[in-house]
Amino acid sequence: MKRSIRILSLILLSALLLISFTSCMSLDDMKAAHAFYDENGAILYDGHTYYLLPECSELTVSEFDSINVTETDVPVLLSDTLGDSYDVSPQKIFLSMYYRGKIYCREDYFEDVKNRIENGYTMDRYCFMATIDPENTGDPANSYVDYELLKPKVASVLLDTMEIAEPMILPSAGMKYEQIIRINRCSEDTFFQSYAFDLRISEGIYYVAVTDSVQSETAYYRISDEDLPLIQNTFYHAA
Amino acid sequence: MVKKLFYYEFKSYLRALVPVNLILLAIAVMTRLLQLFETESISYYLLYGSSLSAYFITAFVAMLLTTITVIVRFYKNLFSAEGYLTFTLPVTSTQHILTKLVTGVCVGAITTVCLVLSGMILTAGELLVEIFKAIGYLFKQIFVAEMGWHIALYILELLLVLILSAAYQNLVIYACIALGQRSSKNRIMMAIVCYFAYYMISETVSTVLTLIITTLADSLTVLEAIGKFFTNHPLASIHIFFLISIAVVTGLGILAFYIIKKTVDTRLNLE
Repeated sequence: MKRSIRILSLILLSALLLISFTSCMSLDDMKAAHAFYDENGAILYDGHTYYLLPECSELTVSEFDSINVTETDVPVLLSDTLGDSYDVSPQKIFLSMYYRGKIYCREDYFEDVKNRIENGYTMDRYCFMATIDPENTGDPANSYVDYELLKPKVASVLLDTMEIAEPMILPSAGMKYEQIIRINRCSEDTFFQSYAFDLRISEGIYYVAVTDSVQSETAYYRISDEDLPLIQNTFYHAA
Repeated sequence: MVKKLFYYEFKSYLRALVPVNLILLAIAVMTRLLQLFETESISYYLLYGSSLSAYFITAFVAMLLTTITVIVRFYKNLFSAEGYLTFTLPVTSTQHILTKLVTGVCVGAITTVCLVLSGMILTAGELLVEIFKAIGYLFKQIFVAEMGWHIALYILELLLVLILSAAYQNLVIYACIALGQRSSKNRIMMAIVCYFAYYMISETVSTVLTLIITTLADSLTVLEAIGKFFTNHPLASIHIFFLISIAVVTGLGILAFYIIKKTVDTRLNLE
């Protein structure tokens, strides 16, 4: 009897000791989303250091995830209450806090991006916001939203449409549309962007739309039927 | 004799409350062990959710059972047929009431300790470590940094307030039971009515006082002076608040004790 009680106590103690070394998934998620400021004001996250970039209104970052950044002595359970919330870009290159105009860049990209902000950059490509499913699973949980470059052929179709097609000038709220896809002029890596025009879909017809905010008018250029398949295949996954 | 009284009181309480507290601890251990198999599947969430619900229900039952046991034990031991035996003991009515009060508060404290222990078992592991880190951080940053050595006194005062409040709550219930005994019929119903009356009166008094203070704060010089003192001496104000709470609870507790003693000494009418 005493022996069985001893064995039972040993098993129970082992179970309780085993529990002491385990964590839980929600705590692991909080730790993964917890970053720290170092003594120089840089951010330490995911094994990398992120440095603050100079302000640049055309530096555009999409949101993939969010983290909480605190001083090093703040416990993880208080990170969302006492920390600053930053959005993380896809591939974790940028950490952004838009409402304060702060964007931090990962150490391996920092010098290049800073240099371009200070000395100039070219925006000779076009992009739009798309839903990316890197493993093609079709599961929304595995996809994320990011900027996708337009192929040069697609960009040239859109630009040529504006040159060739006869515009339909309507007041800015003059047409009902099912979808509006914003097309930005951008750099090769889509880090720098500025608004160019829209692609609007109304009753199955695709238009390139250019808005004149001064006149409150929008010019609609209808995309030709022969270019339609290319446009549909490009923008089917627009976000 | 009083020692024996305490012994049998605790024995009676623990006989009723130890099983439910052991069940509570067992459910906490089981729920924590379930977390070893944590996945993102629906079946895990259903199982874990059910276990967690069982834990909270058991915790509620433990607290409710403690309160009910304390009340029923007081009533049965002093005001039912058991009272014939109770009052033959060589113990004064004051000693009877104090024994019931002290054991009732102690049993409430034991249940609270079991609840805290079960909570610690539920979060055992890294989560418990992080909880302690967070509490320690808050304590250091907010309390120690702002309040310095006052924090030690605040803790003592708070403990005293908590113990006296627990005793006071029990005394109020005992006093309502004692007042209910003064009725010739439906004594338990009268005790409940007395408790409701106490609750309504206390809520009305506190609402009226709050209204007076908030509406006349700027116009009455005394209130204005008090307000200025609180603003200029926040740390001392907290001590004063605790001391006033202790005084009020003690005063009301003594009144309730007097009601119970008076009933037991002069108006005892056993079934």
